[in-house]
Amino acid sequence: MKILLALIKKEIKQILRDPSSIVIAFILPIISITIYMFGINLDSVKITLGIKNDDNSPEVATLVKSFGHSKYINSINYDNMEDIKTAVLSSKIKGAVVIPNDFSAKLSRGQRADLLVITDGSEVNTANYVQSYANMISNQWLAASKYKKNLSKPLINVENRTWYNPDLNSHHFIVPGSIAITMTLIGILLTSLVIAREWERGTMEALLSTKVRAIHIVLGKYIPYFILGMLSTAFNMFLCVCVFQVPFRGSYFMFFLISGIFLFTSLGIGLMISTALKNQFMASMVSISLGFMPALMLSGLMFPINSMPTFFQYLTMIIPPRYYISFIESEFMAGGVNEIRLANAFYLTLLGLLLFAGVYKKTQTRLSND
Amino acid sequence: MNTVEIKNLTKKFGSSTAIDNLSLNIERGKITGLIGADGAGKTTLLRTIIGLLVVDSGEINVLGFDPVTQKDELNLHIGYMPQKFGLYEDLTVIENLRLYADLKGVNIAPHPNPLPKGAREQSDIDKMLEFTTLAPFQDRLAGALSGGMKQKLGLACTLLGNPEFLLLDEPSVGVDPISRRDLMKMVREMINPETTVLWSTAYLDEAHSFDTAVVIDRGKIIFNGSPHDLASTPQEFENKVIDLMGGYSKEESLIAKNYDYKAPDVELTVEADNLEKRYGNFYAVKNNTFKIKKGEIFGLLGPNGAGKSTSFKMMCGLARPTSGTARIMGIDIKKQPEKARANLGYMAQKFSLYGSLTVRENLDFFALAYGISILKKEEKVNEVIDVFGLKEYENSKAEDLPLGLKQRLSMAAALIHNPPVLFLDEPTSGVDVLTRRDFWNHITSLAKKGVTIMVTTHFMDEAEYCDRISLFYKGETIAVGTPAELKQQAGAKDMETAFINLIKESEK
Repeated sequence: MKILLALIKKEIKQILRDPSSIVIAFILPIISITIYMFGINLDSVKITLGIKNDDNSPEVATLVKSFGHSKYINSINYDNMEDIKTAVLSSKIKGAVVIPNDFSAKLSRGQRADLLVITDGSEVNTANYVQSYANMISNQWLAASKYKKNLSKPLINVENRTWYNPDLNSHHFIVPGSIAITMTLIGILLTSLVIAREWERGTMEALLSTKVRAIHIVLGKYIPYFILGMLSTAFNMFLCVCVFQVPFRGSYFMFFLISGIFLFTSLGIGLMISTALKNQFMASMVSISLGFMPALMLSGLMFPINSMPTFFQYLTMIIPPRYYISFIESEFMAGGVNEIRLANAFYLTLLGLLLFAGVYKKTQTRLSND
Repeated sequence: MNTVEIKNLTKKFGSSTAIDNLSLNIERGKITGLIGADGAGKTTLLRTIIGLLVVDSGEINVLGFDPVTQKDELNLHIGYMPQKFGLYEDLTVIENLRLYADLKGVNIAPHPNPLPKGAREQSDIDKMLEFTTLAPFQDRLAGALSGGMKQKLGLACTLLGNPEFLLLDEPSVGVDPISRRDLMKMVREMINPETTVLWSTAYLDEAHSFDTAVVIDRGKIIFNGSPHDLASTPQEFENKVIDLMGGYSKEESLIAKNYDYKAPDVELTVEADNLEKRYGNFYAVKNNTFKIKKGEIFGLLGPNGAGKSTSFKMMCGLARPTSGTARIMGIDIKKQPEKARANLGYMAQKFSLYGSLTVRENLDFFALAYGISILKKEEKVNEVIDVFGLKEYENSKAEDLPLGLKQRLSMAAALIHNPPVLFLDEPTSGVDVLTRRDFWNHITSLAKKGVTIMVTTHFMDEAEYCDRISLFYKGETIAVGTPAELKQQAGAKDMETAFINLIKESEK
């Protein structure tokens, strides 16, 4: 016990004297949350559209106006297609609506009238918005216009309700997700260096000729970095909830409990890499490519898991942030859902224990033959 | 009574045999020196004795324990100092001591019994601090200590808990004579008559003062006995050990013979003119002035941290002097650094080689870096590989070479453009005695041909090869002269004593 305490004390001093660990634990969250808050936006925003109206009936002029009045769209009028082309090319407009000269004539005859909606396929998301906005606005206009008598009554009335995040504000799930990223960094990147460092500097050889056993070495690394990670988590939470006002509907106790389990799992990955490689440079490369990138790409934070190819869907099952992000999104937005908590906590604990056993087994108290 | 009993020990790494059917007894209460060339198996043997490595076959018994199965029990009785001292560089001196005290289960609380009046309460750590004279530096980070101080701290950490058996793996590599003497004194004073010491070293004068010397070569013991039985003086001992290792016959230096030396028209090839390097209020080098003649071997000696390496770096234009300048072949290093450097071969401490490149690739690189034309490169590299005897290893990675060969490769790289001036910064640190002899044969032959050589070293016997020596201390030159003059000035018989006396004198 005394030995373990001595090792923990040593490690904490090393952490405090190493500016990089403090930067990762406390400065990085500020930067990453700020970026997620202001830099990344997955929501619909106001789009600028070009409009070319070849039909000069007064009725159609109101359609042009309703494009201009929409809260989602800025409209610019154009007279010829060439100008529209140039404007799309220079990204001045994201698409265009062209009303042909027989538009009102066809409508008054009760015929089907054409409306051309041009979108920029190089930005798929925006193209989708343009299409649906154009559809929505033209239908609304039609329902209010004098041609509505020609309209057959719709049989289905669709009512939209968005639960948990009524404004569809993507910050509400992306910003908490950044907590998972920071914790992954602390868990994997920082710790992947610490055992390798002892081998490189020759301190491990000296340690192994004292009373130190494998369990001391393992716990002596897990415990200090667990403390650092939890402090950083609390700081992240403070930034999210108090500074950036992201609504939190779950239980703080549950949040910290399951965050703790997640951290334990991440530490396992980092220490596993460090123990196996015994080389700081290799360890940092591996931890970024095997630990951090999957956490970003395959955790469901950036890309929804169920839209991934089947193989990758299975692959995500061994990526701890996947469980944590699923938990954290539900905890923040839906409030506590016990089934989600339990399932994710279960998988995280399982992975964490497996990794701990692996690290313990790999930690030798002898030098290997290389 | 023996502390260590080894019978028919064999240890292989892949296909190479590190320890070959070795049997050895180490007597309790004696200091035993373990001597051998690089890669002879010294470190492997030490690691095997304390159970850090597991042997392939053979029996081994240490203090009545089997290091393979009873490593944890054995650890309680030993103190082991690995080559890099095992210190945490980001912890302070006192924190390192406290950590190792805890890890060894040493009670660091002050003495519990009532002490005689006037006596200060002292814990083991206080005693250690006082003894190593590290007390004034106890709050300094270990990484900020000089080589000699690190070594003392490493030893203090190893000595905590009064181990019965002390194992030191080349504790004196790269350390100056004063620190080496202190270290030896520390060990002798701190141990009790029952303590066994196993000390691996490349310094044969050190080994000569031990009770027993074990010479190991290619995994086998070639001598085991009292060094005094073998020879009465350290110098003779060195010659005898060299004989045991197969002997060194001085041959004509091929390197010097093939050296394409063009006699320069200047007589003073290297000049330092009031060279000075200041960091804030601290002078790393102060008023350093000397002139080296063509074909002279000029030695810069001094304790660790005296400013030798800083002087070196300024003289080859790697560091900018705060005032003063240096001239190589009459060319000012401050005004025309590239032109001055073209006349220079520089062999840096720790042999700056690219570890992941092969021997040939390293030479290819240095050939081009030193400005050899791409058309002549192939021919030049082939020639150098032949002359330096590197043919066998040309496709091995530099990091896989034993130290002696790394040194040779580094020298080949520094000489590839046949410069008239050669700077060597601790070229022989950690290199075994045979390789050193061979190395100095080449150096002296090159000097005879006219190459000017400036060299630093911690081996005082090597200082004898120099034509002139500048003794450096605390950034200033305290004495200049031939080895004989310096010895006379200090009233000493050998260089090491001269070194220590002159430094003590300048302290006054």
